[in-house]
Amino acid sequence: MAAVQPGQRVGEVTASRSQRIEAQCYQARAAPPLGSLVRIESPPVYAVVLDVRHEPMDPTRPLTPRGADLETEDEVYAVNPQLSAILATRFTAAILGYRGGDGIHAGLPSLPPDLHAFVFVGDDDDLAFLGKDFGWLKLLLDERSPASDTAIVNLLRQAAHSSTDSRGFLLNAGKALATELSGEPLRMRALLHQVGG
Amino acid sequence: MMLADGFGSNGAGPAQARRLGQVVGGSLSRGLDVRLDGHSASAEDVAVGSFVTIHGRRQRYFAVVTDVELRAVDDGVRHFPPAFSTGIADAGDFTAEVIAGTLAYSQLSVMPSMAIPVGSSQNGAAEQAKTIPEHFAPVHAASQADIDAVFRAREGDFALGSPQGMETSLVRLDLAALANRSVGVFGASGTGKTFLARMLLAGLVKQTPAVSLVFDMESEYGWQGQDNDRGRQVKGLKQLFPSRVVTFTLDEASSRRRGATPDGVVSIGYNEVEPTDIEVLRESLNLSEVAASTSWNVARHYRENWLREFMALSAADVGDLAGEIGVNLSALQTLHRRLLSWERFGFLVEHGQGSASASGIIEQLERGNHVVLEFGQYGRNTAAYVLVSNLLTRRIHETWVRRKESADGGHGDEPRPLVIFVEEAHKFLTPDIASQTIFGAIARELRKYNVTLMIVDQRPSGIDSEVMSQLGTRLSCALNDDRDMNAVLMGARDAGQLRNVLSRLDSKQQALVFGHAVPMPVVVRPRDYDEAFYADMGAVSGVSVAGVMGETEAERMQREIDELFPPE
Repeated sequence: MAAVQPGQRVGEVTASRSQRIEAQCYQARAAPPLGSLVRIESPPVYAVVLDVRHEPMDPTRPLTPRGADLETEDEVYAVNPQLSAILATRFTAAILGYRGGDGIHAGLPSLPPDLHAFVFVGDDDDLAFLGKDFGWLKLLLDERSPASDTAIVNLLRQAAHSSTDSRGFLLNAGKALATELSGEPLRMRALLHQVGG
Repeated sequence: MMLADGFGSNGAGPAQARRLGQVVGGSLSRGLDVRLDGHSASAEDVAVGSFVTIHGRRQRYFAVVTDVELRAVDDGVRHFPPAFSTGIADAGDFTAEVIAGTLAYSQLSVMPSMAIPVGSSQNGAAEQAKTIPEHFAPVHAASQADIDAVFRAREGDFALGSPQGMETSLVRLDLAALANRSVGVFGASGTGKTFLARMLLAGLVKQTPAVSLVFDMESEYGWQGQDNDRGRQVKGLKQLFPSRVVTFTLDEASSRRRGATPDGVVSIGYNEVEPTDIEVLRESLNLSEVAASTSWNVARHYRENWLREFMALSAADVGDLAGEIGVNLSALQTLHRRLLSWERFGFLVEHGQGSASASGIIEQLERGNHVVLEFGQYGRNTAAYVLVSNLLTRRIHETWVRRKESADGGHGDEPRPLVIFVEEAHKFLTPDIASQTIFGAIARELRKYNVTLMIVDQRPSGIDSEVMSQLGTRLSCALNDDRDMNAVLMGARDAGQLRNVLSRLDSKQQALVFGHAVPMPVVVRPRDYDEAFYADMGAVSGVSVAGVMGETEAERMQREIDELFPPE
């Protein structure tokens, strides 16, 4: 499993809609983690990773076990070098914002990213826009899944870590979260607990 | 002048005043709801009774805070508070910090009282608010300029003290309006109502054409008073205004023991007491209705000197009298026993000097002098206080009525406005006797005959509601009893909201003032009754109470002459 770095180009868009993109990583098992901010180059769009999948390149050819006689998982890949060619890592990301003429805006772009658009892992400059307008939170909260709530927590922690005022960032994000979830107190408390804890 | 932007500014905007929140609801009748900005204003920063300004689009409003409330968007906050939900202190703190100001917030109830058009000058007159600001109008803490705009100085105004939390600002009373209608000063024992009343009287002496007649129960208004909290003596009206205040006494020996030299001694003739005085004293004498009413039969039997002759009877004679005039024996015996205690009243004399006493007081009042009648030892006897006050007031009121009617008919001048000052007012003005006493009549007839009341009491719930509703201005220090608080607010506009303010007054040196003499209800910390106050009243500085007390009669006269005609 290879770690990805901020600013690294990790893959390309393989399907896109107004609210989310599908992307395939250049290297199997080298995906941005759940909750990572990614930047798509054309047009400039920001999205957060909601789902990561490792699967066969060809869905009609399911994988079979290969390590019954081996000691470690690494040996499986070592003795089957063809695996890197038949395996793929894909992820789904929800769109949070886009770059317009006058800066980055929270919300959905008028058109989805192009197919084969390059996908980069977001860096500190990209993360900075998250603290300026928390309107993007509503887009993610409306996903309503365990994965999306975990993605929110991971993204907020990541953004707080890159902020010069981590506590202030988390408080402002928490207040925005609390306002959006005023009708769902239990979900709100769970999220705040994870963000603040 | 540079103003802290607010009510008193020229409408440029609320840039400098401390923002508290914004209007989120309400009405003119029940007041406005103001949601506090969680980040800049805490519920702990805003006290009930303090002032705020609201910046509407066309009007700026001046309002008083009547309640502070903690609210939540939903019940979840109440049922699962943050620390409880997590059990982890740090996480709970974070959640609490997030929720505070968002889902859980503080809300003020404010009562808009005055309004001034946006853009008007500082001297523009603030008027009663007849509109309310729109949703989300910003709300700021009132600045000193705001206070000055509402309680602006006018000729004849009297600086009573400072508004709550704003020691450098002044709340001014319109003394002319104060004297125009009856006034009530209320407060539980030890809350400072005597000092408040003494200041009002000093203001009347200094700044109005009205004269006052003070029935000084505890002898603390005339020559000097006692500041029990600070263990010192303070100047009375006579010391402050030696040439305009005249003191009479019922107990000359007491006055002299205290170093005071009264200007006259009041005595009352037995023949001047009327059955109606007995009716008024029914509660003080612990008489049944039947026993009190037998006084009418006795008076009818003996005619003019009925009281003296009745008191001179033996127990056996009382029995005979009951049969003779056809009244209940037990009731007559009770009346006789109770009245015998009056033998100790040194001011009661065989042949009436009451007319002379009343005339002496009236003469002083007509000269424009204020009169304080000290009761000395008799002040501790409620019956004596009620008897003398009622009897003298009846005579003086009769004179004022005659003079006023003559003036109305084109004969002579109008009598001077007269303020009659009584303590323990609930003894005179209980619902069952208020209609019979002269004080009840004065309260009800308003200023028809240029006579008004200043009543001082610690149990306003004992005063007839009709009388309470006729009070033009009310000043109330802290009260302990719910019924008393309700009584003080009876008939007042916005009584429901003022109730919260009244119930939160400090136990000392704080009073809620509302009515004709102030533009809007205000919580006041009365100014100190000290050398600075004496100086404002024009008293001669450097004359200590102790020095005045020790002076001889000749020295006193010389001092008063010097005060009137300062040496070259």
